[in-house]
Amino acid sequence: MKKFGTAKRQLELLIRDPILAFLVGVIFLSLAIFVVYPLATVLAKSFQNEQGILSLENYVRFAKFGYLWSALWNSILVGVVTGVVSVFLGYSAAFTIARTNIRLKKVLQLLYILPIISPPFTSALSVLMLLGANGLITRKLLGIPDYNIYGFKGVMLSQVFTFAPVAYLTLKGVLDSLNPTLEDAAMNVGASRWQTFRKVTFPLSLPGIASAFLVVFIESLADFGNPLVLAGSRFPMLSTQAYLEITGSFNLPLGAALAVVLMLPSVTAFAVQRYYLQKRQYTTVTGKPTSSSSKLVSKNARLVLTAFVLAFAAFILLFYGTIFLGAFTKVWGYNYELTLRHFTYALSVGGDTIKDTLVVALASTPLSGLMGMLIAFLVVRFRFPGKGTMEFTSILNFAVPGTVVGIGYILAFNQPPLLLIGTLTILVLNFVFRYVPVGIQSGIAVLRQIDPSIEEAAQNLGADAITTFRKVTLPLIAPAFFSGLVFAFVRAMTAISAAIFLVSAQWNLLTVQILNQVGSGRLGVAAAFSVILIIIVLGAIAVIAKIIPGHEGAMRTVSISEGF
Amino acid sequence: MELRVHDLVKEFGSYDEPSSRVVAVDRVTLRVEEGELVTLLGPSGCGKTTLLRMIAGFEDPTKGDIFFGERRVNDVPPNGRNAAMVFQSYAIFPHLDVFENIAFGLRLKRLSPVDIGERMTKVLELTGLTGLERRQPNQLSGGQQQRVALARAIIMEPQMLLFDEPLSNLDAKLREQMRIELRALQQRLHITSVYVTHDQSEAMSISDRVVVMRDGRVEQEGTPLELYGRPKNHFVAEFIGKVNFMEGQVSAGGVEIQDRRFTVDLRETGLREGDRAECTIRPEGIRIVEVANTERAPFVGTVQRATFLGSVVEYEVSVEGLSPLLVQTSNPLEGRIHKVGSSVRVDFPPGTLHVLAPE
Repeated sequence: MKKFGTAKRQLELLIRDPILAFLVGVIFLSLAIFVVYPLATVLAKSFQNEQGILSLENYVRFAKFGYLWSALWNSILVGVVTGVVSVFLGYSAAFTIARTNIRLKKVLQLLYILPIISPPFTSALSVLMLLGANGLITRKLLGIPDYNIYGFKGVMLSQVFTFAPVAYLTLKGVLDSLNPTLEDAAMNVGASRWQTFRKVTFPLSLPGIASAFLVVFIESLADFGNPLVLAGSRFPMLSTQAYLEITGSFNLPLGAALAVVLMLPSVTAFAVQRYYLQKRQYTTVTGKPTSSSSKLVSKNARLVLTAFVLAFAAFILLFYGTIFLGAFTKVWGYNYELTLRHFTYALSVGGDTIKDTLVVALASTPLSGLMGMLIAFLVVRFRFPGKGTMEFTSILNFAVPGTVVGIGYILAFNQPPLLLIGTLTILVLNFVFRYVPVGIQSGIAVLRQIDPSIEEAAQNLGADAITTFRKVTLPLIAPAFFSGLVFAFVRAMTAISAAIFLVSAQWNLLTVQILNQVGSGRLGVAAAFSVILIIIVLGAIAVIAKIIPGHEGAMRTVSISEGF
Repeated sequence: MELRVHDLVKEFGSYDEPSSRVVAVDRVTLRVEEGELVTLLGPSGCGKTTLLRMIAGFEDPTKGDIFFGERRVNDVPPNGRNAAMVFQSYAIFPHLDVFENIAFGLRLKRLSPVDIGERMTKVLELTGLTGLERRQPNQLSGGQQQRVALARAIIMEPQMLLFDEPLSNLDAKLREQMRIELRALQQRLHITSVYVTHDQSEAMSISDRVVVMRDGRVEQEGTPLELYGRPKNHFVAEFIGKVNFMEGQVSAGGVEIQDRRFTVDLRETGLREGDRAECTIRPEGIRIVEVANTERAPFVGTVQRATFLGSVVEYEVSVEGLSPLLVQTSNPLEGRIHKVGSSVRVDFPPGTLHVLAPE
């Protein structure tokens, strides 16, 4: 009864500001339709048999079928190993960049985030070209014919390449927010460098490390492109298996059940990371600039670390160099003569795809950016019934693997009144609701830093909620807004796991096109498409970075987005 | 415009968990007359800012009413109240220059550029900001930011001005200067004003009336002089200015302190002969003279501490049977400063003793 009283009062307040009430209503409705409903559909479908009758058949099959069990086990194994290796690499690199004065920091940082802004499976392409049956290293340099890279090692290697940078960015943020004065203080009271690291720096970054591990684990579980290219049939993995059940065997209920199984560890890890670990992070933000010229690293250690970060950078360069070369090479593995024919072929068969991809990305980016800021604004600054639910629902899509979201969309929107399959709308909506959480999170972070009395002052001078947002809040959160845009754009250009279910003959995406080319063995064409895609993304980031005040905008983007 | 607050209550915390509920403002009734400046004074957490924010419309009262003139404004959103506020943090829009900050409210009202210009010239002059129109907020000193916040409020020609500890971020000298300017401006514009501060000297110097608050309740309200001279209770006496407390007993026509009789008007206190009485005296009310002086005085004490403060000297004098007394004498350049350890006669001249009503 009393609970009802609170809600009623808040509702009354809401009604006093009709525009606010309207916005809250619209957002709730759209979240219900485009986030909750598809996921609920997946869940419902998984409890039906192929005739559409309520049953546990799919789960029984899952439990009995050793193949499906091993898919779950393989996915988790790869996730854990990738997580551990990525965090180790990421922490070492982040520590070196944050705590030493090595040169070329900027260049190194740019290199490290390159994999994040590329399609998540470009590395799979590189792995094939370097270590595959006709690989540059395996066949040409080592002379091993028909080396089998498929399975655990291939997927793991490719994923480490893709996700170690994510760990790096998360951990760089963690280390940057630890005040080096703490280390100075430890040394000041007599701790040696190693003791300082072991007793101060490392324990303080431990929650961040755990958090980075979970982020990578979640991304690895959700990863679709790398397993599809590199897992092979003898090493089944969940995300691809769900896809194959649906597009290969047309067994929608079983696909849905696999999606649910895939969702469980992801959402659990997400919940732990978000609601447990994030509260335990030690940040020592004082507002005063802290110098990072710590004395923590000795000369010898510095040498080792420098060698390490350079090797890491070389590893990334090698992967991208391979793609780049591959795009200009006649037949990789046999004939290394230079050619432009992959590009001409790519442009002739894929010109429309490039256009489609740009249309989808350009349409979804501003929508998701605006919506993210709006939700962030409502959640931080207003009280209304269901606020917690709104925040939770809006980030739900980010926690759930893309494969699940994709399956949800095809199940939910394949009949009137919401017959959207095969349209541009469904692609755009998918991207908007999938990447809006990033905008929300960065928006919330920035808004919490803005003194609420600045907005109160605007209201006090006669502005209503909308005017306040437009004239005061929006200009102040513009940098975060543009950062959110960069992220949404990059993801819309490079995502695949959900989109692969939603593309059609009319509306195809570059990432799907690349995967198809890999599938049909045209590695050169796939490489050419990848190069085109990366150039578009880099160009867009460069443009937005010019607009954003403060040149580190683009960089901050990615770190904000990956940090949660 | 007159402001009336009637039986106002504000509770924070959720309805679901009664243990988390905190009463920030507890049945406060208040009246601020047209053109009057009333200060809400009290320690932090006493509810003064919450009360102000309810008047501004940023918080909704749990119970009670707020009237602007005859209009009940409980359900009027903050942007419809025309009660301009000066914020503690100034809340200057960081992305706008001085001119645009001040013109913000007028632009929302869609005033013509000519009208804006006219009002702007006047307000800039009033607040001493002429020539700084195109400065960015981060190029302004604390005092200038304060003036921008004030200018932004008064350019609206509001029915009411609300001040939320506006001077607390300034250094001592500037604070005293701005205090005087604020008061002069408020009187000149004759705007009904509510001013929140925890600084009692600020409250005394700026207000027509002061409302002393504690734990969400009004302890006493009155002119600065009334509060200083006739505090109702221990809390008010101690919170406003410095004070000495002494234990006494009511006798015919006055009180006895350590068997010495003093004539005090006790009609307001309701005390009767034989009751115990808490007596107060301000440091500047106590007279001390050298023992060698032949003048009679009820007590003899010893100087424990003498601090020269420029315009006054502050002494701590121990008297047998009393807590150490704080004494201030003015104009030290003319008289002599009593040495530490010297004996002095201590007197409470007529009219300086004040007896608190029992709580």
